[in-house]
Amino acid sequence: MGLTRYLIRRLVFLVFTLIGVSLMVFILSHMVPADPVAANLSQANLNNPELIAAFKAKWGLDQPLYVQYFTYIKNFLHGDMGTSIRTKRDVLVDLKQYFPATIELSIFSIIIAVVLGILFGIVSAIKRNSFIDQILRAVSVLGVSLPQFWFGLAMLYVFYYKLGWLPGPGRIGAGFATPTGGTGFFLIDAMKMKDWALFKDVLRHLLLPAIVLGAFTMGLITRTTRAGLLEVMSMDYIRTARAKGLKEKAVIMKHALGNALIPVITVIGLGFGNLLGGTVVIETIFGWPGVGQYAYKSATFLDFPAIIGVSLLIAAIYIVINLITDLLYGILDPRVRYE
Amino acid sequence: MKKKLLALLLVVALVFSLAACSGGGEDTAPEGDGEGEETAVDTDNLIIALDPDFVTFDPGRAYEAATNMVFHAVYETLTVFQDNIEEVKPKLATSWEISEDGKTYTFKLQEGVKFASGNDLTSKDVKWSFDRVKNLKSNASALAEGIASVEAPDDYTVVINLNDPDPSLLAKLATSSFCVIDSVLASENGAVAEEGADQADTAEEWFNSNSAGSGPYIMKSYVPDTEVVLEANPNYSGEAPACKTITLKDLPDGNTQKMMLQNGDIDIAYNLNADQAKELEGNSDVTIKSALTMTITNLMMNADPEIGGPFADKKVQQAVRYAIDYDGLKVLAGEGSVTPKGIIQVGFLGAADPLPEGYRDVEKAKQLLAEAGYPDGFECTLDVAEYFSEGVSWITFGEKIKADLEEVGIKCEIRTSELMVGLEEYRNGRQQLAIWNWQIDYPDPNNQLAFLPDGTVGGVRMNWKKEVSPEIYELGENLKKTVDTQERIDQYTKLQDLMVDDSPYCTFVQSARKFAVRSNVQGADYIDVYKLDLPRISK
Repeated sequence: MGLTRYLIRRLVFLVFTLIGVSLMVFILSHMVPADPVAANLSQANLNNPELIAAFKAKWGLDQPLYVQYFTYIKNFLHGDMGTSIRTKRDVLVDLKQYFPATIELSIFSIIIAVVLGILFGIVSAIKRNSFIDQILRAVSVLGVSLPQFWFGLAMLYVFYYKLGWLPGPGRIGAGFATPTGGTGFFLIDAMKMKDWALFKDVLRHLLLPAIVLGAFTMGLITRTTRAGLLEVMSMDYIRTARAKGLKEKAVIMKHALGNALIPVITVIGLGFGNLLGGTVVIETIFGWPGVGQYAYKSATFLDFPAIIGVSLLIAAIYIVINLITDLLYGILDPRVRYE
Repeated sequence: MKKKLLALLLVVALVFSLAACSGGGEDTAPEGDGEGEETAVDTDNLIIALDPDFVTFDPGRAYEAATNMVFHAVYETLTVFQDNIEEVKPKLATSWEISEDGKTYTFKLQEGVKFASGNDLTSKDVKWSFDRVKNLKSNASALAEGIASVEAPDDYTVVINLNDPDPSLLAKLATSSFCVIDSVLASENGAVAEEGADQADTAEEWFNSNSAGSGPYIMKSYVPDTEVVLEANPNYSGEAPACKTITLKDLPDGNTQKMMLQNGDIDIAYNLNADQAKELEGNSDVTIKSALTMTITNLMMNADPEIGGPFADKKVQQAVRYAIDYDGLKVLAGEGSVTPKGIIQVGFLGAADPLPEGYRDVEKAKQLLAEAGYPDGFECTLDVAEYFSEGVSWITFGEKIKADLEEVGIKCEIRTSELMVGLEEYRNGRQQLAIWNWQIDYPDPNNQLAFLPDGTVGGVRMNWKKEVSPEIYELGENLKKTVDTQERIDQYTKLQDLMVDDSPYCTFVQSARKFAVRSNVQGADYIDVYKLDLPRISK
């Protein structure tokens, strides 16, 4: 009962947050001392008042800000996110094209980060202060601190250019046509098409950018897991478990890990949000046609409908991830109550 | 119970992810099964990596540099440039006559040309295309402004009537704004040419995934920020192009392009800066190309004393032109760059020779400043937007210029800004001293007249008024109407001489472009108006 009420409250909260985000983005992007007219009309046409007026009228920029905002909200409620000034397509159509690329990369990346991060964290904690612990701790520090653009280029240089083990930038190799599955998630599309050569190719293209993108989160998870596990391992109930004669492996996997992972869930949740919003650099280096590039280009063109569309989507995903994180908390830790 | 369930979930997640991971791992193991080998022997498919500025593929609306590359392969124009932009050549128009008053051009069209759709290309299509670009009131329309009307008296004759004589018309007709479009096909898909087209025309979306031209290629697909694929046009009336498909891949990063070129995954890396090109030296699989572009970068001084302060003084403007170390800036811009004598680019009709090495004269600059009443120099703000001229940051230029000016006593504070923020101030004429570059709209020196007093750049951006420099203003007005080639050359020579002493600009570099191709690629030569002449490339 409590859970349902909690969920409803959170979902109502989501709506208000989105309204807040849309308002803020709207005001901020119009406060920038730059003019979308200058960004989208050629130099020659910038001296033609008739063309400038036509441009403003076409995109509703001649209306007062509050009218623009309410028009946007009204259209949004009718499922219309507006037309992008840059691409001239519905923002919704654009997002459907760009978002799957980023989501696919982010999910793959978070999986790598979680698996390696938790694994490294456990090993590091068990073999505390050993040589391997030092190595893993160094790896996690590197993961957190390496600049992404440098790391990305270095990985490409080694694994693509020097060793030739992995393919270069892009989502698929030159020999493949864009999958027609319709979801935009190339792995799923390839599976639907039962084209396993394509599936393998997509997977290989995902690996490098996913590792680079996930390095930061992986480092954080390693450190959090290690710290959490070490703290839990010194607790009384673990001593009790050991006293019962349980094997060390069982003690760690059955008793310690669950509690140690509670803080890790938060790290994963936040990390995933960061991945979604912070892929501009990776997408540029790896020629990945994702939402990061879309957001960046929309910003340089002062393409308001696109900027607001991307912001709302990212905000919504952040909130949903936060909600999931909180729910998982409750499952992992029975002391948490949804009030 | 709950805990067990969760543990189970976790294990499933782990197993799934491990499988995914090891799957990737296995796949990576076999060497040599990459795409590299296939492309190495492939002579049909050309892949070009670039950082394009594509916005639209509607010829009536597009105005972006990289789009010209695609249009030149997909559409044909009445006139064309080949190898260089000094001389315009016939294309769809086999010949033309110009009336005495220079206001009427009569073109004879090549007969038997078909569009990719199979429709015949006639004067009706030419008139329709030119009417449309004019009536769409788009960015591309600017070039059609001077056209009063277009007539199609018979199937293979086109008459263009101008409001005023325009010696640059033939050059403008070679640009993508004047692509000849299949009017039947385009009309079926929402295109409108008549007055009111700016409201009634709904064809842009269709043009973004289709083409309606008569060129050697057709546009097969366009995925924004991913790629454009061109395919040889089976109905092309000329000689079939060497490559069956051309893929223009959107890869913004120069380092990435470089690696892919070295590995043979792409045939042309179009966006390399000077350093990246240098790193490719000594690689026998790769040929580095360098070409002089028509991109000039200027130090712009505001001629309004209220805004420009000391820079509104002609003597100070002269002093700045002597104070700048052009040789040093040329090095920063990269090998192959030149210093043009003012705003007329090297390569244009009537352009003067580039400035010689060692043009800088610090003493003279100081003397001029003293004469202007600033023996101890002065302080100012140099506006630099975060942007590039052919891969070189304006901020790099700005720092060098700051140091150069300081030597003669002018102390600049550099103020950097986001491009669009800076642009807003610039276009309203509010910047005291700033760095901006200029790319040509059409390949004719008349394009540069915008820089003159009362022009769209000179007058509006720099507040340079005709009352201040009447002789230069008159010369510009004359040049807009002069058709005779020798007269044009003489007048341009005079203009450049006059502007050495009187102009609010210091054009400090005309940049070279660096790009690289696989050594088996032939014909990938730069030409400013189309960037790469795609149909002529073979491998």
